[in-house]
Amino acid sequence: MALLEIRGLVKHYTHPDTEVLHGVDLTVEEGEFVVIIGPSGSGKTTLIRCINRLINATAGEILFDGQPVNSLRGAKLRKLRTQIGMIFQDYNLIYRSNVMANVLHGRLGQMGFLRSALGLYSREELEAAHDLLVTVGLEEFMHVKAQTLSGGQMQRVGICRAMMQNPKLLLADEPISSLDPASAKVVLDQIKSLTEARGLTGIINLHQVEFAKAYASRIVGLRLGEIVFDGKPEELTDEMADYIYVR
Amino acid sequence: MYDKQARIKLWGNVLSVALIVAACFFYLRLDPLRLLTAAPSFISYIAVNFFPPSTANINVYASAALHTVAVAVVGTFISSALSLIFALLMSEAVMPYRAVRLAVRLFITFLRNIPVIIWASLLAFIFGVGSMVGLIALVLAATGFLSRSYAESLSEIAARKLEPMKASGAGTFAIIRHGLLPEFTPAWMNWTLFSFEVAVRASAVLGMVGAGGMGTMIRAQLELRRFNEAATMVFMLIIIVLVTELTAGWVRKRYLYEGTRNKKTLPPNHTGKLRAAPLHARAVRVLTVLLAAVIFFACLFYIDLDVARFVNRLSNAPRVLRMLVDLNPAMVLPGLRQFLTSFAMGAVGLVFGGVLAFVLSFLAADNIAPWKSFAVLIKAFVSVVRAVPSLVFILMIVAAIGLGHNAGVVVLILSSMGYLTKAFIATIEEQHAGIITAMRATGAGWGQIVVHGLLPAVAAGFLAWVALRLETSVAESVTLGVVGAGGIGTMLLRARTGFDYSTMGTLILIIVVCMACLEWGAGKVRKRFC
Ligand SMILES: Nc1ncnc2c1ncn2[C@@H]1O[C@H](COP(=O)(O)OP(=O)(O)OP(=O)(O)O)[C@@H](O)[C@H]1O
Ligand SMILES: [Mg+2]
Repeated sequence: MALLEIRGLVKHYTHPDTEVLHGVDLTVEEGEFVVIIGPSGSGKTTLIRCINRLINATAGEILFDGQPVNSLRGAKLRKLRTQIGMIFQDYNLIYRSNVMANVLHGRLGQMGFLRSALGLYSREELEAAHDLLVTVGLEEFMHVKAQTLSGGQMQRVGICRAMMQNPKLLLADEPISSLDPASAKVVLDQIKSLTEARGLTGIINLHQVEFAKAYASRIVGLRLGEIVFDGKPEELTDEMADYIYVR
Repeated sequence: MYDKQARIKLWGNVLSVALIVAACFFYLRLDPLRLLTAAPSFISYIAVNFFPPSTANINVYASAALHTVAVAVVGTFISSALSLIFALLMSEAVMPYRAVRLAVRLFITFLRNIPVIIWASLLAFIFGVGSMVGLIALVLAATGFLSRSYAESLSEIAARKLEPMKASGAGTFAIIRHGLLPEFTPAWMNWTLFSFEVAVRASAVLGMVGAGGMGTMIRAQLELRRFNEAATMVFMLIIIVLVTELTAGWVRKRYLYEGTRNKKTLPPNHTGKLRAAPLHARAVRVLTVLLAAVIFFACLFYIDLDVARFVNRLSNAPRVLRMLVDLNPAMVLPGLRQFLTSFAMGAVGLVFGGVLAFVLSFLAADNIAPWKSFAVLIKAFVSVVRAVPSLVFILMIVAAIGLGHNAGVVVLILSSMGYLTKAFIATIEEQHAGIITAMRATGAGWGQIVVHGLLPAVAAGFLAWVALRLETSVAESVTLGVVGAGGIGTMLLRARTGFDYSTMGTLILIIVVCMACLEWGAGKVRKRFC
């Protein structure tokens, strides 16, 4: 069984009145590293956010691990979300809290009410957070306020936060588009190596075709809310890439 | 072409403001000559009568002063906690039900638009004179102000910031605790300190309408014309307010900007127990909470609340409330007319105070002041003026020039001038130094730099400050009425003296509605200039 199955996904926004996704079908197997490319406004963000229900789809079906996603509410929805990690374009760290706390935030969904309210993390959780920070090379910034970090460092904290969840699926929405090329490479390397080491499945939105080709195990091209390409990186020809990005 | 149009528009605006002020002048039957001579005669009156301050009863006054500060501390603690709850209930990120958010907002608008003195005089009317009444009045007014300010800051914390926690399955409470509140801390501190500064001034004058403390004494001494005694208390008050402001400024600097430097706290090969936060940070947090608790309880015990008496009187409250809400329609029109009077006084005070502040600020701002020592003098003068609550001013002025609109307007000019000069100076000093240096380099003089360099840069900011001040100025004008300066406050005072419940209720409702409209209108103006 596939880890993620999307069938006939439609998203219709009411303000302004537009249909952004016109029946997207996508099946992702466990262990794949899928990069979604497409021009601005093609619906990449909308698609990826429908998976963890930060956006509610209008029609269609999403199965995660065999479980229908669209009908989940309350505690069941939260339970689903604990299994899906997400990395954001603007990092969205809590600036006033330190790096360690930001990483540990990834655990909040899986802690009991009292423990999460009081911020009582277990020894294992603390060690896991520390190990992740060592892996991304930010150990020494552990107790530094997040607002003092550079963009690249912040995104590496964002990676650790998502990994703290021990998710089955990792989503990332343009994780490098606010970064300079050098930090972008570090961030992508770390996402890739961490997902590989833990046998995770990844779905990453990217703007840059070269990066997509270098990192993806599979590339999906989205254009005007429809999938126009789905294949191995070496199958993506320059003509195809041009077609995806033509308005 | 464009330039000409802009100029016509500018002069049109200036002309209409001048016309409005002139209209207010005639409406209030103000005497320009008397206003002009008021300042010198006031100063000489003070110099002759208030000096030297008497030191005979200094012990009594010191304990009254401590009481004033303690009430402000307790009031700020309580209203800060209440306001946090109300603000969360008004925040979209926390409260999903629109109806609840709106209901809380309406309640807060009601609290906020009754000036603190009106609250105190109403409560003293119901429950009798006492420290409990003063404290509650303070808490109600501060909660109105703080809830709204907190709510605005909370809504500014981008929803995006909280998305990662939501996406990882965290519950609402955990999101508030670990996401919303940490990001809110600086704004929370800033607003609370500001509210404390306001509360100290308010606490000092609450006694004037029968809520105990320093205000009761100041009023009594002034009315008995024992000016040297009154002078001692006024000096003490000035010192208290200035010390409060300095302390608040120090706390802001110390805690708001900490942690903006990038310092690594651990050596690379760190061993030892892992913690979410370093031990010293935790110790600081615990100590801060403990210290706050100690301060709160010390102040609470010091003010020695008359709870028992208050509770005794509590059974009266429903009866009085019922009589208050039994509105008197015949009083609506006269009430509105009197509110217009209060508004006109506030507006005149604001415009004249604004003009004075405009001149003073360009003479006193560090980056443009022509004479440094004069600038220091202006700043000191403004600090002192700001430190004296307008209710104290009016009682002092009444002794010099008599009661009435003239006295009220003089006080309103003074207080608007004090507030706006400080705000204007801050705006000017925020300007990029390059503007001034570049113009100096071309040989431009002070006047040219001000008119061509600074004025275009600061005009919008100045207007925003003035719009912000209008509400406060009118609220102060209403407040001054409560001791007899005219307008709706004076009408309320008469109704209170005559135990005319339904008129009191009607007037308070008029104040709330008119102040809320004013706040809404001023908000629109402010948005256009920011
Ligand atoms: N909340 C919304 N309401 C209405 N329209 C929206 C909303 N969010 C996105 N859209 C529209 O949906 C379309 C797709 O947006 P989406 O953000 O999914 O594109 P994207 O591929 O992620 O683009 P980008 O590369 O710029 O991030 C755009 O035309 C956008 O204007
Ligand atoms: Mg996007």
